[in-house]
Amino acid sequence: MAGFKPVNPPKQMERQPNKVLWNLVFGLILFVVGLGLYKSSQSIDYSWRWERLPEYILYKSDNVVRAQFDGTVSITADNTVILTDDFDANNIQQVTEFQSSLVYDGDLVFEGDPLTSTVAWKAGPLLDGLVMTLKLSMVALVFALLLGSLTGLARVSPNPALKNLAIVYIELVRGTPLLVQIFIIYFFIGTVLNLDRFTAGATALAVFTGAYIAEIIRAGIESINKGQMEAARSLGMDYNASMRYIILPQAFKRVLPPLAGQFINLIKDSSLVSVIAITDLTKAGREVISVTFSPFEVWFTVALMYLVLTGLLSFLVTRLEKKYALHG
Amino acid sequence: MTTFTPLLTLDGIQCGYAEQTVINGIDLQIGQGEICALLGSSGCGKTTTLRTIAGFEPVQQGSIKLGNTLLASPSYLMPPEQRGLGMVFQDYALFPHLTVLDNVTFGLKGQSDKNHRGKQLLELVGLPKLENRYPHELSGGQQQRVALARALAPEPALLLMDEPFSNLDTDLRRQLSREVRQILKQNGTSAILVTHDQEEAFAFADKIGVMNQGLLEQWGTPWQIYHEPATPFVANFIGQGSLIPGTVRNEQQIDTLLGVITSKHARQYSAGASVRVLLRSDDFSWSQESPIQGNVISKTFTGAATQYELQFEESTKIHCQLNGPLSFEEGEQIRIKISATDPAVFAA
Repeated sequence: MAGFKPVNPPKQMERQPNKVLWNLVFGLILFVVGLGLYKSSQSIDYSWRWERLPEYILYKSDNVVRAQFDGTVSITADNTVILTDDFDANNIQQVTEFQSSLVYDGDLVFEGDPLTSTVAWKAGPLLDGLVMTLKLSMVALVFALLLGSLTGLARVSPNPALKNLAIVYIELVRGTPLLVQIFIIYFFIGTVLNLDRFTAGATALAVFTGAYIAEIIRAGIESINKGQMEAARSLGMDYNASMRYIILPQAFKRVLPPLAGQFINLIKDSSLVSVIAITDLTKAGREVISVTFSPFEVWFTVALMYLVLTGLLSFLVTRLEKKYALHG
Repeated sequence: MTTFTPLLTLDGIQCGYAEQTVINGIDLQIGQGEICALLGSSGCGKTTTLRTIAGFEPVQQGSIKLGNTLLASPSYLMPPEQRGLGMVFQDYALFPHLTVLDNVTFGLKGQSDKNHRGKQLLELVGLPKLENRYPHELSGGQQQRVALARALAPEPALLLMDEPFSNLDTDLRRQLSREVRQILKQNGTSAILVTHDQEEAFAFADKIGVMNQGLLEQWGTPWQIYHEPATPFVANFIGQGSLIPGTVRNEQQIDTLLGVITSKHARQYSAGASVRVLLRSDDFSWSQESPIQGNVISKTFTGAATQYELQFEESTKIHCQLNGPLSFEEGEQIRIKISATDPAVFAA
C-alpha cells in the first residue's frame, strides 16, 4: 500500500502494570498496617502475654500414680511397679504403663506417695473448643446438605405441595436471625423433644444453612439448559431419572463454589451456639479470657483457628472443583 | 387411499402460550417411512408444532395420535418419555458429562447389548472410534451426528428434528442433510424436520408443509409446493417469482401486461375475472424478437445466471433469471419471452 499513511500514529498496546513494583507496594502496605498495629498495641496500657497462651491450646500433663495404701515397692524385670500391703500380702497395687518410676525397688511408701509419672501432651480448652466447633459444623453440614438438596429439589418440583412447602421453609428461615432460631430450637423444640445442647445446636445450624443450600441447589438446577431435561425425556427417561442422571450431575459442578461459601459461613455461624452453653471455640475463648485476663491474644488466636478451619475447607472444595471441572 | 394408515395424525390442534395462540388448527397425516418437513419463517409455529408432538407443549384443542394411540388432547397429555419418539434439537443438547458412547446409549438403559448397538450406530453416522470422547471435544458436525445416533438408538417410531442443521456451515449442512436422509431411508424411519431453509426442505423431505401464522398453508410434495402453490403466500414464500395481474380470457388463456399466458389453471375462474399469475424467475429467457420489453431496475450476478428485476409500465415488476454471458446495466431495455408451463393462477 504505497502512499498509505495512518491517520493517527498507532497507539501503544494497553499498558501492563509493572509486576515487581506493585508487588513491592503490596508488601509495603502490609508492612505499614502491621507496624501501625504494633505501634498502637504498644501505646495502649496493656501488657501482652503471648507466652501464656500456648498452654491453653496444648499442654504437657504430668499424670502421677499415687500409692493407695502403705506398703513396700518391688519393681519387676519387665518394668512393673508392684506395691504390696505390709499387713496383707494379697492387697497389691500394680502400675504397668508409665514413663518414669519415682520409687526404687524395696522402698517403703505411705498412702498418697507418688509411685510413677507419665508426661503426655493434652489438648487445652482452645483446642477442645476447636474440636467441638469442627464436630458441630460437620454434623450440621451433613444434615444441611441433605435438607438443602431435598428442599432445592422440592423447590423446582412441578408438584405445588412440595414447591410451596419448600418456599415457606426457605422464607421462614432466611427471614429470621440465626440467634433467634437457636433459642427457639433449644428452648422450645428442645424442651418439647428433650434435646441435648449439641443436638439442638446442630439442628439449628442445619436448618438455617439448609435453606441457603436449597436456594443454591435450585439456582444450579435452573442454570442447566432446559433442552437437557427435554433430551433426556425424549430418550425415554421420566422426570426423576432425568433429574438424577442428567441434571443433577451437571448442576453439582456448578454449585460447588457457592456451596463452599455456604459451608464456610456455617463454620463461622457455629460460633453463635455458644449462647446455649456449648463449649465451642468461641465459648472456650471467653473461658480462657476469664482465666488469663488476656482478651486480645485470645481473640486473635481464636480468629486464627477459625481461619485455619475455613481455609482447609476452601482448599478441599477447590480440589473437588478441579476434579470435576474436567468435562464440559 | 383406503390402505393408507397414517403413522401420525394431527387433528385440528391448537396450542399457545398464555393468551397468545401460536398454532391455530393444524391437520396433517404422516405415513410410515415418510420424511416430512415443516417449512416457515420464524415465529410461524413450526417449532411449537414439533414440540407439541414431542409432548413438551400441551394442546388446547384437537388431538394428536400415533397410529391408534392418543398422544395428546386438551384433557390428556402423555408424558414425552412414553411416546416413543426421538428428537434432535437445534443445539443438539448432548449431555456434556457423558462420553459419546454413553450419550448414544442413554436411551437404551438396561439393555445388555447396548454398547454394541451404540458402536453400530456411531458407525452408521460415520463416527467410529470417537466413542470415548466428550461432546465438547467434537466439532459441530460431529456433535450433530452424535445427536442423531442418540435419537435413533431407541428405534423411535418417528424422529422429530428441530432445525438440526442450522448451526452448521453451508457445505456441511448440505452434505449432512443428504446423509441423514439416506440413513433414515435405510432404516425406514419416519421423520419430521422443522426448518426455515427451503432448499434444505426440498432436498430432505418427501412431503413439505408450509406454515404461516400458526396455520398450515399447504401440504404436499416439494414439486407441488413449488409448481402448484395453493395460496399466494406459498407462491411468494417458496422460490423466487412474481405475481402478474391479468384477466381470464378463456379456459386456457389469461391476458396480462406481458401478453397472453397459457395455463390449465385458468379454468377455475370465469372469463373476465381478475387474477394473478405466478411466473417463476426461471420461466423467462432472452428473445430479440419478443414484444415484451422491460426496464432493468437492478441486477445481481450469480455466476451461471444473472438475476434481473425488470419494470413494465407503471408498477409491474418481475424477477427473472437469465442465463448466459450477456449482460445489461441498470436503465437498459431488454426483451424477454415467457416459457412457463401451466403457471399457478390466483384470484386477484
